[in-house]
Amino acid sequence: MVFSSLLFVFFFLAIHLVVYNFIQPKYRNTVLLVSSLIFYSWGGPRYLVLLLLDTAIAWFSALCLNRWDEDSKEGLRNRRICMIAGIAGMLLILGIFKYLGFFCDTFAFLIPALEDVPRLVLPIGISFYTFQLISYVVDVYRKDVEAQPAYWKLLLYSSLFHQCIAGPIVRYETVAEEIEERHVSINDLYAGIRRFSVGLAKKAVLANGCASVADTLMPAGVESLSAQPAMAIWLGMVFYMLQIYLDFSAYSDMAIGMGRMVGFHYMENFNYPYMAVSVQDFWRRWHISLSSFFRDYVYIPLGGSRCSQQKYIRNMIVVWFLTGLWHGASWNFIFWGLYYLIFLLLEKFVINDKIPGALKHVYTLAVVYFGWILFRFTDLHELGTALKGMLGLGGGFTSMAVTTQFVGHIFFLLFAIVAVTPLGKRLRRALYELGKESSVLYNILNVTEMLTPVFLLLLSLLALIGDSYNPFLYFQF
Amino acid sequence: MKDKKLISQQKKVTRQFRTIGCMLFIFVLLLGALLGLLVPLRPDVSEVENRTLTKFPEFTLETFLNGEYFSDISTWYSDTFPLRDQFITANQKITALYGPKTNEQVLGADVQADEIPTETTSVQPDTSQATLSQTDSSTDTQSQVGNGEPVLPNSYQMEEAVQDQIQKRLYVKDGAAYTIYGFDQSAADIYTKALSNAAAELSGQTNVYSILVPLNSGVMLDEKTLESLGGSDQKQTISYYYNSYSGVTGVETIDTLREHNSEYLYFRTDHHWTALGAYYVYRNFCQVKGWTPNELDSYETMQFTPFLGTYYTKLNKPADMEANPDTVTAYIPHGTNTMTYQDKDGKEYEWNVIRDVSKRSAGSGYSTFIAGDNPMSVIQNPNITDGSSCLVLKESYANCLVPFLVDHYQTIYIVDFRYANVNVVDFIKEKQIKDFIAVNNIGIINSEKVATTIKGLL
Repeated sequence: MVFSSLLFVFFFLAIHLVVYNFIQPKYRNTVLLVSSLIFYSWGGPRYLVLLLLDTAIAWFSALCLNRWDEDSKEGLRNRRICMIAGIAGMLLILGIFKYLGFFCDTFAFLIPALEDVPRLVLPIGISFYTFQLISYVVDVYRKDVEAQPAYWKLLLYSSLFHQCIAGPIVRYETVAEEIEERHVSINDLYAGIRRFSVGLAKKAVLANGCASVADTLMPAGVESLSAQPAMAIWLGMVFYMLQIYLDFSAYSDMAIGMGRMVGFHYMENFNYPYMAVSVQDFWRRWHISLSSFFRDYVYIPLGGSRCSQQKYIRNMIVVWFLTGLWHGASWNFIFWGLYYLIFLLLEKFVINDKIPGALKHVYTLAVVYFGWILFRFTDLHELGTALKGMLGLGGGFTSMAVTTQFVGHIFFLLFAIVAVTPLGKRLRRALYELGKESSVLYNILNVTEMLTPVFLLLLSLLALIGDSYNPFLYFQF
Repeated sequence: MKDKKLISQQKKVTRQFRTIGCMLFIFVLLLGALLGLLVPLRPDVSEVENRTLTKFPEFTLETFLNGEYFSDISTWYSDTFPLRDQFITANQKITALYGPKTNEQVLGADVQADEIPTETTSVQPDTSQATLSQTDSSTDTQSQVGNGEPVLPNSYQMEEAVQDQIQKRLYVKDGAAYTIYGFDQSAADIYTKALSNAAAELSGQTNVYSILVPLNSGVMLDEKTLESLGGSDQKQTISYYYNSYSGVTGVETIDTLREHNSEYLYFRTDHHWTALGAYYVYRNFCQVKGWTPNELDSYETMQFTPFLGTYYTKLNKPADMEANPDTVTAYIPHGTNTMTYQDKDGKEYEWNVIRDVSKRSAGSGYSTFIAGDNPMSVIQNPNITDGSSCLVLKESYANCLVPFLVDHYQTIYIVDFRYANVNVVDFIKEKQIKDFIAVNNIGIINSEKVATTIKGLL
């Protein structure tokens, strides 16, 4: 089930919230768990086994390693072994279900027998919950959190439908206490509802709208793509760039909002990434839970930046290769990760803040824009066609079809661009400050706040009914 | 001190507004959920979109395990949500705000088209059954996957392909829309080969005719506009098809239609041609058959207005189309106005060749003709007793042409390839049908999926 479907919002979530709020508080976790398992099974019950198994591995290895103390050398070693065994088990499952097909395709020219290995369907959310569980095991090993003795509570953490299939990658540390006990004030509830409705509308209206323009301008398939004029791909990529942020951050908004409604406080996953002034800054603002995962569990353990230049570069290569690979089992994602590696190294060793103020933002957006081209075209042949097309070597420079899309979506485009900036947030903040002095402004703010969630919900309802088109980009990962 | 009190007072007010905000949201959420649960209110068809909506899926263990069953339920839930048409209409008003609509537009991606071969060699199917099946299987290889079974697309995929061909690439000007055409070589080869093979199998017994109807752009737009839009030449396309046939007689369409293109031959808000357009092609067919055609003014007519068709819906109901809607004119055959048809569940109905649809919505004017699209329909003309019969294999473009044929055959069988459940060649043999007429729009058959489906029926 995707959050931005009518069935989810007007059936699953509605019923879930009613049951959750009317049942005795001691059963609330049970309601959450059952809902989460139903939610997960909706994408194919057979994959539920993997989620249960992965959680069991993490649960067991955390309990095992906890049986040893750090005092003795032997204890240290055994703790380490337990942790590594747990992580290896989970990575093995991830490797088989996500990367085996890719591996076989890549090396089939060496070993023809690999052609016959069956290609598996990627289980929903496996990249997200595997990483969550890995972080849990490592955190227990590092004694940052207590091991969870109850399997079902750990399962609640890994399967929680708010974030299980599309992030953010919530640390166990963040929710450990809230699993046991949590409170919801009316302000929490309101904040949760508002956040959810913002995310829903962002996805249903803006991201889906951008997607349909992008797909019209950049149709799938080498043949169709090669008929597109240059402007179609340039403009299409602008819509795609907006789409991918709006889409993904909308999912995080909805997750954070739903968590808030029942008392969980998940970490922020985005911080206006298109406002970034360097590539490094971009990655501090984009999919924060993933970049901080790689920072804490790969980069720093490898030595981070406090080591020789050679080692630092090695660490960076490892992290960015993995970041690319995490996004999908395909070469274009690996290139995409390494593309960022190049710019990060350039920024550190060559650019060194030499770009003048105003141009920093332009430079960053340009790097990100071209990065998304690598990201969009999973087929390398298509990627080549798109790049050629952008140089005008495909279907000419422009066409009436491009003009029609551009003019017919001009207000929508401007609105979507505003939506990726913090303008709305600042406007609200300003109104709030001014409202302290002026009661008129204060009441305008109050009425707006009151009507925003319901207005956005209705808007999303209309958009979702009228639009059977509802892809979610990050489901692949 | 006072300030602090004020702030705490303000906080209280804010909290009250937020409480109401939460309640409003929850109220609408629950109302929506309740509406969603009112299953009897769920529509089966969408008049706004002019299509049948998704059915509740059937349970099978396999679809249950791989999640397809659940995803079909999700689709069903949103596709048939109560008040769907009203919500869609409201949403169209919102999307109209996305940007100004210019008078001249091209919607959809630029057409990618295969080169139309100028030299054609007609297919030479052998008459002996053995070699015929050999040729057959050699053409099959393109559409085979692994296990050797030819892959027939399911009806949903095919309808999607049809929609795609007709609606994805549109040129819009002055309240009229035109479909841009891009030639597909493999579809053309599958289609022509399929008809040629059928003709070979029926040779000596049944005459096989092909009537290929151009898309509105190929008839109604001037050469210059057509060229600026890109896409393929429809006259060349039809020639290519006709020249590729062997044993199949192609009936001239596009030149005649272009000669008359100052007349009302195609709708402006719908992708179909008018009965008047069909009438000119009927005259050409009479010439081929050596018949004397009926004059247009000899018919009684029915008219339905306003008619706002598929383009109108696809384009989010533009005001200029609404201000200048189409009119459907239907000509009632002399011989009879009754027919029978079988629906998709096999149930039979008595109906009219030209039905009064004035009570239906503005989108349904074209359904006056021969009960629309059905797996099998039969028209018996009581004035003719010579045993003459024909079978029309068609999609909706033939609907307004068939009424003109009624006065020339004792029995007309009409098979819509999208819903057909018979093997057409076997059926023709069994009923000893004299004329087999394939009437298709060149846009609709222009995909491998559709052409393969037709091939599967022959």
